[in-house]
Amino acid sequence: MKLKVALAFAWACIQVSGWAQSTVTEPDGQAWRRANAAVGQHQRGHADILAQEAAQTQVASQATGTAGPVLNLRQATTTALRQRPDLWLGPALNTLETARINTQVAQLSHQVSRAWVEAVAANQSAAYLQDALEAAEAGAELAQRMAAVGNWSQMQRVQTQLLQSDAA
Amino acid sequence: MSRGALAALPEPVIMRGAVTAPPLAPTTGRPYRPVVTLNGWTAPWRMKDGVKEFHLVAEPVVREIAPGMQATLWGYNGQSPGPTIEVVEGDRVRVFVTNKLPEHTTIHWHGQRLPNGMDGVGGMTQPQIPVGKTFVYEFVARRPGTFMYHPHADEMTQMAMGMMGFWVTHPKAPHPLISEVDRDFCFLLNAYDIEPGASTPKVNTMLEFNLWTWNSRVFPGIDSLNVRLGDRVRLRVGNLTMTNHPIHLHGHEFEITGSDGGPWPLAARCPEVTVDVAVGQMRQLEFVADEEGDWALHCHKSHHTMNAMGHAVPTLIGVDHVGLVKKIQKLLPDYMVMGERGMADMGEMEMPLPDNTLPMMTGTGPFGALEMGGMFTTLKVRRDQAPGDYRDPGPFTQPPGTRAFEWTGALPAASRPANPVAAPAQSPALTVKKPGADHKH
Repeated sequence: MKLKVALAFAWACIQVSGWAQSTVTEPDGQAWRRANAAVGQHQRGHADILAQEAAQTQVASQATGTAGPVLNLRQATTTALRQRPDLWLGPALNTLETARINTQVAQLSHQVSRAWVEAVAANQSAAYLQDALEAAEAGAELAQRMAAVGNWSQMQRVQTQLLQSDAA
Repeated sequence: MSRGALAALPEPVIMRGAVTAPPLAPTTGRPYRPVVTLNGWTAPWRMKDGVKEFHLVAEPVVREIAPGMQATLWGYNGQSPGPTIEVVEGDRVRVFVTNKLPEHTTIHWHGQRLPNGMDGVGGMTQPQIPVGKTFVYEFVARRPGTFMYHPHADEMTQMAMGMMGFWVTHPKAPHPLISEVDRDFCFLLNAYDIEPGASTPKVNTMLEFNLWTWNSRVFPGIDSLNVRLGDRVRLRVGNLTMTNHPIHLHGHEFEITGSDGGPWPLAARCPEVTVDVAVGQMRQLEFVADEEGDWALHCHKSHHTMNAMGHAVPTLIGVDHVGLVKKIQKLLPDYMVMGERGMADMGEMEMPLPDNTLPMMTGTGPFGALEMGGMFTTLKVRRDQAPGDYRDPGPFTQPPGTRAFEWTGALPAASRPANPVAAPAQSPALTVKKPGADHKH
């Protein structure tokens, strides 16, 4: 329902603003011939486009570098215990004290496990949302390009762009 | 043939706009009476060492489908369809084809007798013409008649995008089965599926097209056929859509005098007012225009005389809307009751449409809305249309007392039986077997 209202609103906006029709329909045909010539440059299609994208990505990744390593669960637990000298076992402790400390270690370990799982999940979730956003952005950009060469109406373009704004 | 002979290609002539060009009288080669291509033109040629040379450029084009709508298509020499090629039986013809599309193409010379290697079937009779390259087709136009040309490379896409054209081979001498006519019109039937608000056809549509066109034009963008009273008229109609079209002429009977198979024997001709032109077929209709007036000429499939329409719109005839309109308008302020008394409102109402979109039912005549679109135009027969004048004479002035008129006298009461005959108690169950749901044209 929310989507339908949004669509109706978007459609009304198009009607009111009277968005300019893409220039490919100019009767001199120049823009339309240019659009065809541009895709015609990639004579092998997909393979050529992939090659061009790969070249661009290489330049980009050199500039940004790569992300640092992440702790695994064992490393996280060990690091947490190192911050708690009060939980270190020593020869002077009696059985009762040893049992108490062991219990506290178990509790800390449990908390660390929980926090670690949440952190990992949050990271994965963020990465997934980032991927979804990128996909929606690519979809919206593709829709924009579809409309620009007259293959899609502004209505179809707006529908895809609404998906992007939902993802953002 | 030496490479030197080909060194200089004839310059391609590019057409801007969709007007019907006047007939192109030949200044070189054997004489003939030229055709008129509806909303189209005949390609000029040059004679080189006794060979008629044409230059076709396959390229992206912007075609006006009717005023208010431009389509982004592929075509030849600036338009879709491409220019009509007119030659004479026995002519040696050389056609240079330059490919300015983003993919390879070929041209198949539909219906012609020619050497196998000139038939234009990509991959089978020749390598495809690569992007940016120019190929040469050369053959003798052996058989007089009406033909077409179109790609035989990525054929469905390239034809859905508008690549096609007409070819007329005139007889070199008077022919017993090919009559001399005063006016000779030709047009191709084609079809597009363009989303309202967009401009490029959907290339994977098989049957559910929404723009049924003649020479890539729809009513009211198709020029009228303007003739002089008593003219012998020939229409050459080729079908490059994916379905058949019953072409119907008002006010006259015509005969089918030939197809792309050649002139038909006299015994095969009979009077008709409608001829079904099947997929990939060509028909020549001939008649004497001996009734004055404005006569409709159209495809008799009624949805082919409509422009883009919503197939999903439900039937609303007889549905009472009182009390619902305001409620619906709360959500959709533009909501408009339509269709409850039939769809004629569509022909008269100005409704908001997406950009670059034609109304579904449109056009206005001297007596109101025509409520037409698509494959519809007018044959205008006039006493005072000068020979050789193809201009539109405007609406017909009917002689007084010859028009349908309103009856203002008394009406007899309709006689209906008071009680309908009661149905028998045990009526046999009626079972109807409908054909499959896949007949979508």
